[in-house]
Amino acid sequence: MGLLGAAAKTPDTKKEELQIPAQRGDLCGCWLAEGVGSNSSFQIYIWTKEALEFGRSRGTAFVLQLPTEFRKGLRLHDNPALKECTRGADTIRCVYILDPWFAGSSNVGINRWRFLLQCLEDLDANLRKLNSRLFVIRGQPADVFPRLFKEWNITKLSIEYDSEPFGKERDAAIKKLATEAGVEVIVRISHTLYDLDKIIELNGGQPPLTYKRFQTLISKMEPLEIPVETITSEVIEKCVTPLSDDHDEKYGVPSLEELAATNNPRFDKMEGNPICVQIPWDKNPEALAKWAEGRTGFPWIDAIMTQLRQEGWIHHLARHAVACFLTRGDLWVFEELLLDADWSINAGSWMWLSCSSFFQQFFHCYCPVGFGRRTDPNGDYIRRYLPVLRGFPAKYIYDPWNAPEGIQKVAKCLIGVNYPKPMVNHAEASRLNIERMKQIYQQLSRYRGLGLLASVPSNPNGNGGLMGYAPGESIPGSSGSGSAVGSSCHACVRQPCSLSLRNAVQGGSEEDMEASGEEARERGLSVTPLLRHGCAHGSGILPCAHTDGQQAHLLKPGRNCVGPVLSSGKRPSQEEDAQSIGPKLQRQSTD
Amino acid sequence: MDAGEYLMAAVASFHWVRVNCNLEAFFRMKRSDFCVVNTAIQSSPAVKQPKLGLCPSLGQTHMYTVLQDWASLPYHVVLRIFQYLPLIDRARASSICRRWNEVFHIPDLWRKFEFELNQSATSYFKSTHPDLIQQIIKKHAAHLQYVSFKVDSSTESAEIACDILSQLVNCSIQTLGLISTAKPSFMNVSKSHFVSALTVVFINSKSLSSIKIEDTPVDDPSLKILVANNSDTLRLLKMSSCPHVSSDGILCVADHCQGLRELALNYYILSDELLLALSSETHVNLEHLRIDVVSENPGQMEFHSIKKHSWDALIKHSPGVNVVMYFFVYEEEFETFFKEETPVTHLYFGRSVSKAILGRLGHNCPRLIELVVCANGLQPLDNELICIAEHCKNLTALGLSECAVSCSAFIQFVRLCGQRLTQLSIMEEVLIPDDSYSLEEIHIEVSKYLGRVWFPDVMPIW
Repeated sequence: MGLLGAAAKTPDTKKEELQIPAQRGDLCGCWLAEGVGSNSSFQIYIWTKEALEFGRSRGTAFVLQLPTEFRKGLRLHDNPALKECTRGADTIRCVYILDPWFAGSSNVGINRWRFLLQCLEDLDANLRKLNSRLFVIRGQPADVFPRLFKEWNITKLSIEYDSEPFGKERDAAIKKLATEAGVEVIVRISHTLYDLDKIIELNGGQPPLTYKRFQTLISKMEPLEIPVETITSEVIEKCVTPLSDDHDEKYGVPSLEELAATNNPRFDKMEGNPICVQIPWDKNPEALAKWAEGRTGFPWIDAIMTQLRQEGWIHHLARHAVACFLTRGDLWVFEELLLDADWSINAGSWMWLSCSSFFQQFFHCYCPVGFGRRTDPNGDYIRRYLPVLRGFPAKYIYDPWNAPEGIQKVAKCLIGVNYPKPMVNHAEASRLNIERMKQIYQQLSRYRGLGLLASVPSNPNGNGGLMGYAPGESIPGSSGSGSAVGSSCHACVRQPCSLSLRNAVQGGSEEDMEASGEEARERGLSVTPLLRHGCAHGSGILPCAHTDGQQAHLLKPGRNCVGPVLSSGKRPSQEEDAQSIGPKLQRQSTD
Repeated sequence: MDAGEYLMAAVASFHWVRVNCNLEAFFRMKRSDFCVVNTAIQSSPAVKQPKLGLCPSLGQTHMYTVLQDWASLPYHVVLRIFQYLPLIDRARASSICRRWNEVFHIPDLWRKFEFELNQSATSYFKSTHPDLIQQIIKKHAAHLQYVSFKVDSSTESAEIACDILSQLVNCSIQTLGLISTAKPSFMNVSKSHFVSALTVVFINSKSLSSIKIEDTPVDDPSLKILVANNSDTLRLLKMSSCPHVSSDGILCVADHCQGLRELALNYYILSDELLLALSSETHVNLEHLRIDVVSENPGQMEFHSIKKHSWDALIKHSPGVNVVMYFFVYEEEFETFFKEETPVTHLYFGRSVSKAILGRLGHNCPRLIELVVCANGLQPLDNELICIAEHCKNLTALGLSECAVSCSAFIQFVRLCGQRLTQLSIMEEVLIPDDSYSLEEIHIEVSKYLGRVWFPDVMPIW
């Protein structure tokens, strides 16, 4: 990630070399395989893509709380790049690079750190079975790589292909380092089933927008490769790992305490960047807690959250439902929690569902009553996860507060006593929220008409403002250096004016995170590794109509940015007045 | 350095690229170096210096000259640069030299102001600094013309907004907006506090033309004060979801504010009298009428009807008026609506709406331009959509979310509407494949009729 972050943070490549900032590092895992054989090559396999604090290091507006992605590829089975690495090698080392500075400073919840360390322990244990060990190297990748290349005489480097923009940048940086050290680089695809670039190529250079299209494309591709052989002692028969007595001291998996000890001040690169657009989500821990604990009073939502808590998994439609409910649907609260272990999909879906990615029609909103009713008319799902509501007839099971008292009594569940009343009036909430969304989108799109649909910035596909993405592919608003959001906004304002984004959320200190991690455990949220409350803090995929200082809108993609300000004597039109005071205010100086 | 960076950006856009390096040097200078600048300013004639300090012909000027030129940038140039800066950076820049400080206070820069009032407990955003608020009230209140308040969901923020409002006495505000960014927090302020603050502005400004006070406890008496003081200038009034306003209150506005062109309100205060008042000969043409139809509990609200005669009068008087209706009611509460011809142009159904009601639209909403249906039952809307396509000749935008329509009917709908459909947003799940068309084919067919590439909307698999 240091590598990655570095590549993103130093666009001024005029500097003589690839810049890897000393102040930020990364976790970086790699296999080092030493070939003392004929070519006396030393191979490295890098498998992780550490996307911690991803957004921030990329200098975009997004600080995503990333799930446990850093375990990606941390495995011995079905790992083509690793397999490739063992071929012809005489010695092999498995290396994971952990930057203590980064570890101490990053905005990562304690649960996630614990999970990473457990993954490393597990990997180390598996390697022991092969008479090998995991080498955890403390240091910054910028320093570590060249040193290791040299010290261990590396000549080959094999990487698991990373499809995410962040990973691509990092890999490019790593490749450059390797090339400079005379190390050959091999890339294998194993995180995704398909070569995503090929899919896009097949689709004429664009990501497929629908699932159907995606299916059509993959049906034209070659059948999937079968999983490669697990790395066993037979497979690495010829490869040995040189181990020293002080291995644990030098290369052991660190403890959580060790990580915590290096607690550096947070590095907030976004500070001082002009804000452009953010959604002014409500900060409401109480509402968030009700949502997370399944006490919203909407059986459909509560049943889903209960299942998530109990089983650590929910159906993707259910994720949509609860995410939509939390954000623009009802509560107007935004916390990106881990509903999915895949970073891209989790982050992307949060953006999607909260309408933070600027691309979708925000009227597509899931009703916490109707959506469930359509999906499961009988309410069996609710009865399973919320036994307290078991006695309600299907007619009322999605909105038990509407059931006559007699029915509530028969069901042995009085609403407001045995089961909470709905925490919001959905009709009222959706009325408010659609207005807020419209306001924000209109500010972005500079659309001043009356239409609701047209206020969503269009994409070049002319798809009524909707943009699709393939899982794992570059998601709107998630690629490097704010380019995705930046360009999308540029597209919508049609003028390349100074639209910059920044980390929206100032909250979420280390303490907060740890505290909330604890809190989450107390509330039983940590029964599943998939809902990590601690990850939620400081999340900031918050595209919003917020201005940092007063009148920062002068920097926003309004006409003020580019048009003559003082000289224009044009008065605002009626229409603009009608739509919102905002645009009108922005144009003060034109009067 | 922030100011410096902005300035550099601004300067670059002014094509004074040559100066950049010098500017950078300028900002890199230590504080002590500024004595040079100050001296330069003091020795130069203060205002309206015609000489343009920075012209490319200066070429190789050495540092001293450049500094002098920067300090003596004409007011209008500094002003123009300042207009690109956020307030915080203007404030910083203003402490650089006297001239820049003078520009900082030019009324042009204070005509509009957006007060942002947030509490750290309820918002991720910062607030306008209290000192700044005080400074504006003291020094710049008279310059304010366009004022808005953005408040978060806390009552405290809304109360601070009211406190500021009640101090805006020497103003001539034209546009006033009270915007709740999350929840309608003004509703939690005591009515008397809110009303007394609001009426301070109504009474003192006297030339208000746009007022946006949705979701506030504004009441009839305060509207009467508005009318008494601003009847000649009021053009826009947005007051949806203001539960203390009655149909009499809004009627008073319509009767006296003959220049009112745009109005947003809730259905329960919409009356035949109001429509007729807006359609009186002396009244200007109405351009925009937004009506929110909201109910609190299912089945408990019975909506009154509006006579066709009244709608007809409105359209006769204002043929171009846009009538926008947002529905947030339960299915059984729709009975009153669209039984007769209704001149609605934009329709949004936020909750589930029945097939029967949608069936009325084609026959009774000939002016329909945009239709958004968030949810409907599981019965396909085939005939309803085709009827709409056949009769609503102005329809250009359609959005369907949790609905169902067969692929064939959808294709026919698109074919009937053709390229006038500029917005077409349909969830993929809405479309039911049938014998004639599969989902795969529909994208091609629809694209053909629309004359552009079209895909259904899709929720990504999560």
